[in-house]
Amino acid sequence: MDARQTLLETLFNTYARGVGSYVYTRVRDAELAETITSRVFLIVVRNIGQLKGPPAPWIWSIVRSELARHFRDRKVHAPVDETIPADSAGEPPEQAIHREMQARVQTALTRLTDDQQRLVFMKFYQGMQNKEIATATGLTATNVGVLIHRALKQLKTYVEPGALYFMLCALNFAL
Amino acid sequence: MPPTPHHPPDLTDGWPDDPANAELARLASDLFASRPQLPPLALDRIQVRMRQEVVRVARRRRVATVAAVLVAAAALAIGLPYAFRTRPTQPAPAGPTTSAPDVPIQDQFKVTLPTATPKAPERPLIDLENAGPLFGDPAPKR
Repeated sequence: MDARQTLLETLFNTYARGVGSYVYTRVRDAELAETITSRVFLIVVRNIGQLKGPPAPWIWSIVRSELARHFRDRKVHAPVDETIPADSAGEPPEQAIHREMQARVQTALTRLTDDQQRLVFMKFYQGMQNKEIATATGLTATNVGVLIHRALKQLKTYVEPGALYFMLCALNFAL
Repeated sequence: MPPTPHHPPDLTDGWPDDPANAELARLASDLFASRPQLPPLALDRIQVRMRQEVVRVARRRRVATVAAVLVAAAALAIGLPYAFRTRPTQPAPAGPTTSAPDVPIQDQFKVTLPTATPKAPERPLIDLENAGPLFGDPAPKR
């Protein structure tokens, strides 16, 4: 295995789960998420020579453009499905709320700015620490914390309009 | 590689003081916990596709290199005989190709010499009388 191949394997092992998870959040379809994630890593393979510096922002830019392409091609910006799916009628309430939460997060994410989406991707989907994000983005670690705080505050206003969030809090409290 | 996706990061790290922090922290942990995950099988399939692409790209690169070498070789094979065939076989005729005007070559130049030799300075360069000790016998007399 040459150095290039080793680098690609490392990139896959480090970022694939997070990328898959983020794409899944955005498209809410496992098969579609797999296809788009797969496309992201094919682009990584073909353009690995362009990688200069930390990989996270580069991978994020590929994810973002692939998602944009998907939504452009499909001309679908899936609206929030306010109803609980029929096949989940028998599921426990916490699962239903979880599902609803995911749906709301999906829409809320698209309403954040590009920079906020990038930070949310790195923090919550790639599990990066503020210092790592700072190194990757060129911001200071303090700034990263403040920006993530601000992004979450905004996200909260989009996620929370109904009683769902209080239900979720109550459920978490009860559990 | 920086990210550590399998360990949850400190979600509230670096937050400024805010009365809403408790709620935001709960939202952050919910957001983190509710991330949908691709099934491991799907990830495996993606990895297989990626490896196939790695092989394909390497093969394409090899083919491109071989093609470039072949094109260069073909260019030389065609170009060199052509260059030899079309190069001039006889030397160019000697002699001037353009007629120069009949102007005599100037090899004599007029030199103007000064009319008088420069005057010698009035004072000698070295005052021998006063500087006599400098030229005397340095050895002391006994």
